[in-house]
Amino acid sequence: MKFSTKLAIKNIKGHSARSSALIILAGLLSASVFGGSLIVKSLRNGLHSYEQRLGADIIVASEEAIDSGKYESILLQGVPGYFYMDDSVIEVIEGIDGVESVTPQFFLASASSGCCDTLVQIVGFDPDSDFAIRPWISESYDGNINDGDVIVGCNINIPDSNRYKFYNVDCNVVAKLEKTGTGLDSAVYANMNTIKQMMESSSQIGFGYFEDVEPEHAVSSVLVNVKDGYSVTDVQRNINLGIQGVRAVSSKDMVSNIAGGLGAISNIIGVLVVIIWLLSFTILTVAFGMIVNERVKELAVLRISGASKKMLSRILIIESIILSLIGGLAGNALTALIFFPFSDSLKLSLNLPVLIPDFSYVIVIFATSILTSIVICAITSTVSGYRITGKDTGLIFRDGA
Amino acid sequence: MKLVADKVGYKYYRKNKKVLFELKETVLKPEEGKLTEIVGHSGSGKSTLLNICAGLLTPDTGHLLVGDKDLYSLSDEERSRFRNAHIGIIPQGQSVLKHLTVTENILLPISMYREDTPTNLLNELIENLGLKKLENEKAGGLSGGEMRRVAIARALIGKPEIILADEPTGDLDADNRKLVLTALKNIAGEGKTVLMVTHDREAEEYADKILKMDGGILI
Ligand SMILES: Nc1ncnc2c1ncn2[C@@H]1O[C@H](COP(=O)(O)OP(=O)(O)O)[C@@H](O)[C@H]1O
Ligand SMILES: [Mg+2]
Repeated sequence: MKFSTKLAIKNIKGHSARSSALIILAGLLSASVFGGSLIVKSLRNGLHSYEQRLGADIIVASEEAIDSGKYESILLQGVPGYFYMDDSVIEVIEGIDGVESVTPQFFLASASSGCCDTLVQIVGFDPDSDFAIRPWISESYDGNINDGDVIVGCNINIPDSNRYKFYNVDCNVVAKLEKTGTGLDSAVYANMNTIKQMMESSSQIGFGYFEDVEPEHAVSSVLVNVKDGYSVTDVQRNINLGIQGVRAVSSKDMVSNIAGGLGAISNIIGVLVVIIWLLSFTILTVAFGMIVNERVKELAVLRISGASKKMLSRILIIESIILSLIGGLAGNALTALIFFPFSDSLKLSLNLPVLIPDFSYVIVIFATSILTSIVICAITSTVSGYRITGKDTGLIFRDGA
Repeated sequence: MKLVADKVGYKYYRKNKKVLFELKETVLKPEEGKLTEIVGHSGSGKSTLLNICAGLLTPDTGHLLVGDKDLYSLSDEERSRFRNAHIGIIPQGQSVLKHLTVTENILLPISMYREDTPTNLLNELIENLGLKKLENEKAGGLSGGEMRRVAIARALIGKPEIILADEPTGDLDADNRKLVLTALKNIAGEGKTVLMVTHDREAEEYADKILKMDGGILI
């Protein structure tokens, strides 16, 4: 090892209080960038995934389902819920000008009593007309979804038996879906025949989910795609005006609600990161300045023994690189340790979809945040170091100094 | 190796640009194999002259010739390496690195540019300067006299031809003063150029030659 590196390490070890303080500062710098980017990126990913999962131009459900936020809760948080309207709306919607295709969806919350194995949201779709769920499922499963088959979201555990029972209907788990970061990760998917069987069975057992709708004619929502050349807003308005008791919302509106929240949070995080940076930068500059004054004598001793100005700068830079590297690694590791296990609580507390970016992206921001912290530390230490290496050493050793 | 300060002059300025102190143009040619002392009151400019001789303070006028080199015409890198190889400096006050051990402090000039440790010389210096028991101690815990002895060993470890010492007996007790002065005298006896600055009258009896500094003028 070169002299400069060896001495830098000894200097760091020899001044543990000073070193720890700098490590903490550098760690803060790096962790704030890493953590901030991680959260913002996860929210962006979540939003993108949510947008894709909506999978239709317009969503129609009962007024109550939309206005009470039940529908959004299922999509965002996976809070099990149910709401129904009569399936006659499907035909009415199909008849509205500008509607290209429609497909029904069925939501059923399983119960925690003996008839069901676990409490989850069950989502049913019509394989013949579906255009929203199949494309997603086909990312992880390309077989048929036969009657009695279910596919589970990534947060659902598959039992050893590979079977689930909902309202006494036996189901066979055929696949697990990719993570979306939305409430859909906590749901179970079945085809229309299967979920209708469950709905009827639940009604027979005595669950009063359906109120004034006949279980065999109940649908929860209808997804609508609009023909090219028609405005989504117009079609949405026509549905709202033309059909009593239902509410049509465009997926754009649903996404933009979330995008608004995400934008606000990104701004807060951005401001926080900037504040942390300004603070650490100021503290670092002051700290390095103070340290250098304290070290004037030490550096003069090296000069006397033959160290060039370049060598002194090198020692100072190596020290700051080592300190900021340790700080950055520790700060980022700690951030990761807090962030990853708690990303689900983040999702709940922000009420936004959160989808952690791929490993490679995490590695990239992990490294860049450390690198920025290293660069900042190296610059501030060099600038402070220059103040003394620029001076003649003869001016440093004075009487009594 | 011969050291010649040829009409070196230096001015310190106040903040208002007025001259605070001036080392008048000085010629100094300490002889090889001799212990040359510069005596004078505190504040008379002794350290200023010595620092110029060490290559640590660029004079406003004149040249500093060491061997065949004009020290201040060299780049910082070249001058630093030259100092490392040929000039041993014992600075005024305490100059150990407190977080390094005694041995590490002594070896600083060697470990900077050279690969092989001169073990025999190291042991000899440690022995002669009475540092044997302390060699692996952190220098921060040493007494003033011990620190000064470490500085002397550090100045000598690179076998420099020129040794410059600034008040090497300052704030030392009688025993330590004697030990330090004897060591410097012996080095001069080995044929090296030893230049020492002091206001310690008792040190004068060790000198081969005594010069007097007064108000920035060497007489
Ligand atoms: N860095 C400095 N800045 C301003 N004045 C200085 C500086 N160093 C020394 N002086 C002044 O120069 C004069 C000579 O100083 P110095 O050479 O250290 O004297 P000595 O070593 O003989 O005590 C003193 O009056 C001192 O105040
Ligand atoms: Mg002095």
